[in-house]
Amino acid sequence: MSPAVQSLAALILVGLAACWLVLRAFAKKKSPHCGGDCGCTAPDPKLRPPAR
Amino acid sequence: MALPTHISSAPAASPSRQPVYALVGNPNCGKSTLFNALTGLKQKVGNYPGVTVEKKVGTAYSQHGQPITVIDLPGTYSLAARSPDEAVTRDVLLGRRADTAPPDRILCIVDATNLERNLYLVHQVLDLGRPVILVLNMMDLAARAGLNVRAARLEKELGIPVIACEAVHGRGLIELKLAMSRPDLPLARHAWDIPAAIAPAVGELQASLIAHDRKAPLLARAEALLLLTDQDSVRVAGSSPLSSRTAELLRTWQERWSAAGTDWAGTLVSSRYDAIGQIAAEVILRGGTVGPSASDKIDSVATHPFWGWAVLGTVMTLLFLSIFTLAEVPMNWIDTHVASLADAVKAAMPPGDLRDLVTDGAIAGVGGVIIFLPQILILFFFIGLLESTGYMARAAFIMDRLMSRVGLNGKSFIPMLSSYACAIPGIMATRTIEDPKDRLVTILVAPLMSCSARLPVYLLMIAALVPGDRVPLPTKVGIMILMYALGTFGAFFFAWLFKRTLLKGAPPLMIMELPPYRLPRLKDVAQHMVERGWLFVRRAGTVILGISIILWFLSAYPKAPEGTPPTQQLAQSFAGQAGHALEPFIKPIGFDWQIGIGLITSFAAREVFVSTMSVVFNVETTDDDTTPLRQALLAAKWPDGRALFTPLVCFTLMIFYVFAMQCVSTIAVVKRETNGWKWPIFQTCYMTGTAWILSFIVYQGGRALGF
Repeated sequence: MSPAVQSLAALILVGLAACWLVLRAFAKKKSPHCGGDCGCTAPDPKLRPPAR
Repeated sequence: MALPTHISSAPAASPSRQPVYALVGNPNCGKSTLFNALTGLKQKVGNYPGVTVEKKVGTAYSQHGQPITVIDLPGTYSLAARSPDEAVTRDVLLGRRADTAPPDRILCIVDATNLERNLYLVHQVLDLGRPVILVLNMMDLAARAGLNVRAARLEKELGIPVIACEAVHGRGLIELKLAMSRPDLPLARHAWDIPAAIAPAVGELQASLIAHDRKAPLLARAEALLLLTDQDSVRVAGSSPLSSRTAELLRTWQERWSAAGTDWAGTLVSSRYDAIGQIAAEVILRGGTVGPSASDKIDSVATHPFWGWAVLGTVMTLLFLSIFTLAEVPMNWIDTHVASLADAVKAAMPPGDLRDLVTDGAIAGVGGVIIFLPQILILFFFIGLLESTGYMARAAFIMDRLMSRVGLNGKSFIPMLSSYACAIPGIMATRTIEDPKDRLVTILVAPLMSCSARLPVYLLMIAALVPGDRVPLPTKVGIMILMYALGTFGAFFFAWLFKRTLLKGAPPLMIMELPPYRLPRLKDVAQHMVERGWLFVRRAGTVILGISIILWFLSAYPKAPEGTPPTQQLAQSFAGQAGHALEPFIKPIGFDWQIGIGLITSFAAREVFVSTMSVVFNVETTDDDTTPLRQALLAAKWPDGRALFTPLVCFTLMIFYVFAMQCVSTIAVVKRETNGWKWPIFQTCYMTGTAWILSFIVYQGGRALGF
């Protein structure tokens, strides 16, 4: 594999990693927490309107 | 299974709807253990109150294979919530949570060794008018304590199914599933004489809650009783405030009773306890006098004013000794294989960017962190042992005196102990704290406790600080204990400061149940350890891999002209430019721009510092053989030829990581728990500011002393 092809492949990998990290950071989570790394989940409590 | 004849049936639930069971009970009575047994899930369990602070939903299957939704709720002693975790239980049971289906039925689990106290919550739950199954857990422990708890008699007294159970051993689960499978569960025959003088107040409040707060009749009665018992409408109504008419009515009754000088709220509680006492007298048979239990005997040492501290110190020393000794062989194995992998890739691929990315970026970055997996596993094994034996609650008890001096109590120490694993569950665990100011202070100081993500940084710095075998093991252990102690006492100091300035308040009294000691369940401990280890590996294979790849690019581009030395290439790269921009701020504390790159990237997570150092110092080398990171650090120099990682710099770097708020996830969780950006920004500023100031004092002081 020539150095030029290696550079192109490396830059593609870097681009993919950057996109993945950005998407991961800004992805709207169902329950914002640590990202699953600590085993916790805690959705914000939304109160139900009282009903008969 | 046929139900006894004395039990009447409730109308059958709609067959088309999946039944929803809420699992409630006092703290530490085995709810999550039963939940796991019913659903097959692996929620965290532990032998101390406050393990579960949020609802968890799972699916169990009836004896006929029909799915049943089970909601595991945080433990509470009463439906009048005093802390955020108890408010979750109250809101789910009262059908106030928009994200949770109101439970059709309730599984009330009680600790058979403490039946009378546990029945208070059961009594309140029966007021809700929903079908209830009562689970008598820990029957084996009750028998061992000389108690004969007569389940059949209790069933007759309450008029609901009562199942004797040992959730830990899976005993009684079939009977429980049979009861849960019934479409026609009975409603309780709930005999309780409300004092005649209070009955009109209950009636009026119930009518007002129905008319003005649109409550269902049975829930309205239960809420009326809670309001009159607790007399704090916030604890009962939570964030759905009472209508002005109901609030006015409650105030009128309170004023009337206050003028009469009668404690009707106390009377209401007493009458409930009288009813419970009568039931308990019928149901519990005590087998003679029982002496001090094994737990009592152990506690005479473990909670002793002097020996208690000695035990705590021994436990911590053993933990860190194990981390250094037991992990050595597997760490060397991983280190060798990571280096071999990098060398194999270098041998197989021609020189070029892709090869450098794989070896200097991906393998160096991920390998640099993954090497600490054995030590992470040992740390979590010990934490699991402490949690499952019941020692965590004793540690909180021992700390209570110290905590009360800083204005908090031992209850705040449980979240702080949890933060040794990770600050995020620690911050979540503050939901058990009643007082909002105490909770906020605990949230603000919990990240100062040294979490597992700091461990790789400490270990790397200790390895660089005291290389090889020249320094005896006790010194390494001593440095590690010093770092943990610094974080802990830093947390105490700031708690003291905040309680006297920003968040003034009287020191609260601590009321915490000390659970009996239990032999650790190795299955649970191993499961928890493997889960945490897997999370660590997953993080290394995802976030740290991604950051390492980006960091390789930032340190390799823009390219310098052919023939430029690697150090100069790194210096003029994007990462080098960022490090140089930071250098004026960190040079006074002994750090250069290369360490600055690590400080920037490790804001994502502290352990990223290690992978960053691996990438930065591997990029600098030209050898085809991979150099161990420790040696690369020791070879690093300032431009004038001085060694970069001197013992003083390594020590200063550790001090910096003890205090700096280098964790985006923690900031996000603090933002959520405090409902805004004010406190997380304040926390980041005070922690990082303290880290810089202390690092400055240590570094400059050390230099002045000739180190």
